[in-house]
Amino acid sequence: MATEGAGLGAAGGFAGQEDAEARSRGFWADSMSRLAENRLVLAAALILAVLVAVAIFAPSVAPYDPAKQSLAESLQGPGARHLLGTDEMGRDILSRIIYGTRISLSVGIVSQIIACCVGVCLGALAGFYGGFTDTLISRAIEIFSAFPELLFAIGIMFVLGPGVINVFIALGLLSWTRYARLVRGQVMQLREMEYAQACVACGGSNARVILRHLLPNCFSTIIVLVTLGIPGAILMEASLSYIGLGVQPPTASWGQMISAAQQYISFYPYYSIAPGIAIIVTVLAFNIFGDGLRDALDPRIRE
Amino acid sequence: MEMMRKNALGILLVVMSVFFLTAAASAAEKKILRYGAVPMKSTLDMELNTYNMVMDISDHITETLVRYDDDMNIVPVLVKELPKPSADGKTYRFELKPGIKFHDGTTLKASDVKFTFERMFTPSTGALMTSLYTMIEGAPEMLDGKATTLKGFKVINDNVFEITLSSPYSPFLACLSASYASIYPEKACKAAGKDWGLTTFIGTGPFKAEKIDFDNAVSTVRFDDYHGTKAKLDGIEFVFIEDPNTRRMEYERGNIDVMWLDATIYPEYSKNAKFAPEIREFTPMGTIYVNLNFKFVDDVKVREAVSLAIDRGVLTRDLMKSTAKEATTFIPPGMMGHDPSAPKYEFNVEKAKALLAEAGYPDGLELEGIVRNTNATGTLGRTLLSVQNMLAAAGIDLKVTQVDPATWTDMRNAGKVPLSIGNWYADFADPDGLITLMESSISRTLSANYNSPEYDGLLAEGRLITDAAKREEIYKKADHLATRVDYATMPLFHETMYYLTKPYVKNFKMTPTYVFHFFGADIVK
Amino acid sequence: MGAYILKRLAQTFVVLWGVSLVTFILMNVVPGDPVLLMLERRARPEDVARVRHEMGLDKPRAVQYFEFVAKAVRLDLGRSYFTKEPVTTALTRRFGVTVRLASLAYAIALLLGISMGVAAALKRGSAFDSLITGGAALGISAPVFWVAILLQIVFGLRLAWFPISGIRSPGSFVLPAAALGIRYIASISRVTRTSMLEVISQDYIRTARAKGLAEKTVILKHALKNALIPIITLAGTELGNLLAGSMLTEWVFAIPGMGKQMVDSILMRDLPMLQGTVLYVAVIFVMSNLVVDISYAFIDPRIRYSHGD
Repeated sequence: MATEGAGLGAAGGFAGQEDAEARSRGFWADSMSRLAENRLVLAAALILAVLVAVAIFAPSVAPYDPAKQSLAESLQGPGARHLLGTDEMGRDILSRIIYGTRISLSVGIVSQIIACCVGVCLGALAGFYGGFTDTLISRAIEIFSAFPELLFAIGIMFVLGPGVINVFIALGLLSWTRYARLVRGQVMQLREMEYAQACVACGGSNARVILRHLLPNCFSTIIVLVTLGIPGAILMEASLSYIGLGVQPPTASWGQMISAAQQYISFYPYYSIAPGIAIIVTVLAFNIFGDGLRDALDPRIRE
Repeated sequence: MEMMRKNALGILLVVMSVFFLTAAASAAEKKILRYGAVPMKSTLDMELNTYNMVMDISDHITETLVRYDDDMNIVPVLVKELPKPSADGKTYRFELKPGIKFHDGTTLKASDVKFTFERMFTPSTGALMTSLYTMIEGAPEMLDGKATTLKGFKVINDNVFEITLSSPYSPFLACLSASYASIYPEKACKAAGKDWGLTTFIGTGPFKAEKIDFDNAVSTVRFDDYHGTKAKLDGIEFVFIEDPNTRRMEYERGNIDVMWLDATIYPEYSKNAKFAPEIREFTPMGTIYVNLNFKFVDDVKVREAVSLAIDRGVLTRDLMKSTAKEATTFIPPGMMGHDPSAPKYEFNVEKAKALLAEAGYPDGLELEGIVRNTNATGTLGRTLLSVQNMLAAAGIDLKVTQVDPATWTDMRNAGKVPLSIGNWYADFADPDGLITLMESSISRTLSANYNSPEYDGLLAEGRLITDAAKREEIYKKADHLATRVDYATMPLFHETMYYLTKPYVKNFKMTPTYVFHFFGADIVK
Repeated sequence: MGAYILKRLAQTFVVLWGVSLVTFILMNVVPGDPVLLMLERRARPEDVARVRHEMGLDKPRAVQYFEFVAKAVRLDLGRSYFTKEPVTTALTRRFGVTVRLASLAYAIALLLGISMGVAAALKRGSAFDSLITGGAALGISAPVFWVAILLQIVFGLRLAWFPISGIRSPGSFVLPAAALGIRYIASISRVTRTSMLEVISQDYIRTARAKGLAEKTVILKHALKNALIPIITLAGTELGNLLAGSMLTEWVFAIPGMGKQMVDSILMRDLPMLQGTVLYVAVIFVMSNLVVDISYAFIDPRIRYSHGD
């Protein structure tokens, strides 16, 4: 169930909801691509490329060490020395935002890959075998979808303990149901198709049929789901860090920066706004790119 | 189709009207003080929680037999005068002030006091702070379920009773002043059963509970039959707002009259012409310290090195922006046992490195510090981050991990926290309540694991001695031993706390025990 | 059909049971002991043991869970560990608050979403259209807690148009509902726009226009009416999300609803309260699924029940 922490992308749900969300995702991409003939998607791709580069080359890009404290220079406004000013510990805000890119991107990507692996396996099993296996996995999907996402994320973080690796796992466990539900449905359909039946008849092993014939047919759909799942995971990481359960200090994370900046919002609004904008830009770029990708790869999801 | 649209419109209309009709009535032109409080996560019954934020409320409704006044003297509240212990130091005879009324109109009797203590020691009550009172004779037996009456409590008549201790205990009256010993009316409390403190809460205090709403606010009104000086306010509203930033906005907009102001935001407010005059200061009797677990580091050289690597001057000046006072002892100034002649704790990175090398860590060592995530952006979290930076200069790599308070409590009690940062405020103004933190039995559950027979011996001695001057010396010695010989704890600084008060709120200040008491407050507009 | 509904109801109970079991296991695996949290740091082991016994937490876990289920089927969810309040009482009260918040968010999202969607459809391809689509894209990409903080400071404190927090005065729900509703404006306006574009190109609209009806009448009476079905479907499915999705919004605005209760109870390890809240939300979630699926079945008879999922 979607919580506010997640973008629509990460929202689990059921058939009707998936459908509704698939439609909403296409909103801007659909209309804007007609407006700009996909220049928007290209721009989003460009922004993502820049973000990835910034994340990889953060040490060269950032003007300061993001953990370097200079207590006497705390909470300075934007200026020549510190373009976005300093935080309450006298650390350079710009450098922390630059390093925060690493956390956001890696959390988004790794968590969706984990979710994808778990979800695709279980979904394929349920769809292929049907019967009891399907019932078991379907109920599990329903049970896990019935938990509010943020609550479930908090619970898993408590079990695993804090730390960025555990954020990957927690957010991965959070969104597997989306992949499972989709792959289950597709495999179920494909299984009935002649070529799959023929394959089974020819004595192909079950694993072989699933891996060689059924999954490749879902591939483009999965890629689209991963891309559209990333912004949700980024927002969820921000929520977890906002409540202090994400990455550990002194590592910089945008959600944690918003949390630290909150008490200064009347006095130093830029401190709160800068990481917020970083999140919006990243999430927006992923959303637009994901939509474009969907249009290009898998017109079936579209209405 | 037509139906669907009508339904949708109907739902909209209902939604809108529900929302506009649920307006709360605004307070009339009565003198109602609005205090911006942290939501209570418990009942009002102080037997069942240990939170200061609940005391802020419950102390206005229920009262203890004695209490600390603003000058830190114990004064009688419900009793005529302070009792003197008997010759053997074990028996105290109390006489209640006659004719004290509870809010339900009944008169306070010695049997109510007896009931209060027996209820506390009855296991099914689930009282939490019984350890403060187990020196009363017969209390352990009741807690073990071996007795149902309190042997050490004797009712002489309706107004007179005697309490006998199993051995002399000099801070006994201080214990009685704690909110955990608030006196409840027997009849009403029994009648309310599990709803005591939840829907019903009756005491002898200057304000009576009018509406207990855990979600929004607890409203109290003046109790006109109060036995002492009647309150000037018509009532107090304790408005619950979880987020401190939200609370400050409500204050700025004028929707609450009094609230805590975090020291971390104090510098910004003190520079603001509008709010600077509304800031009040308060120095709680407490200390911020670093605890290094003996189970992880028992080499005193390493412990000393950690202490040497911390620049307390930078912490107080640059981190706390001079809102805190550098600690030179664990026992804070103003409390018995504080040694004003103690020098500053030394800051010397080179010496720290040398000590580490001597101890077998020439290339430094790794430590893990745990902090509660609720404190991550507050004073404790920031201090730990600064300490992390300072220790790095001495070659100590401190990994900081944030955990939620429940996980923290578990780890702490299991002795699994290698290094922690803590604050500790005395809930009664006696060093015994503060310095027991390092006593072996308690230190174990605090993940400090300090186990010094010498230190424990000093504390045991301090509890038996009644002579103030002698007690003072003992606590000075204990403080020195723990913070300068064994480095059991590393005191960093004593915080100053701040609260915001609208200019029209008069006549109140924070109690030395860190609870808001609005008994004499007034609103003059 | 009847058999299908019965089967789905049976599945509902399986899901609810699963949810309660997962919650129970989760809360027994996580570190953090409510008893230690309740006691103060000077508490001695014997105090801890005594309080734990009084709370029934020293019983074997299986027994604790069995007792919970036995009481839960009689709709008794126990009392909170901390406030000692009966869970059902607290939940009913807080559910009402969240419903009010969610319905206003829902109303805002519907009003703005539909009007923006209609406007965008009518001015398709214009700068206005891209402004609305772009704005919606932004709204959906921002962290809700951050939007909440900004709304609070701008409209609550600086402009002082609406209350900053709490639920004690009229208008209290406006800002939180706006913070919560923004993301749904996007999805609803998108559906409206697509649906309107489809409908406008249909023959009967052309006929209506040809008959010389006023443009306003054509749009409102004919086009929008027919475009409403998918909007209502979407709104129905989003309602469940809204109810559960208000955690951080409630936190920031000090709204004592289900979301805040959920966060509070997991932080405090208040198992009875958490169980109750999670079950409450799960019931709504499962029920709204059920209703949507059944109504689909009515609308579209092609859906086969034998595969029922």
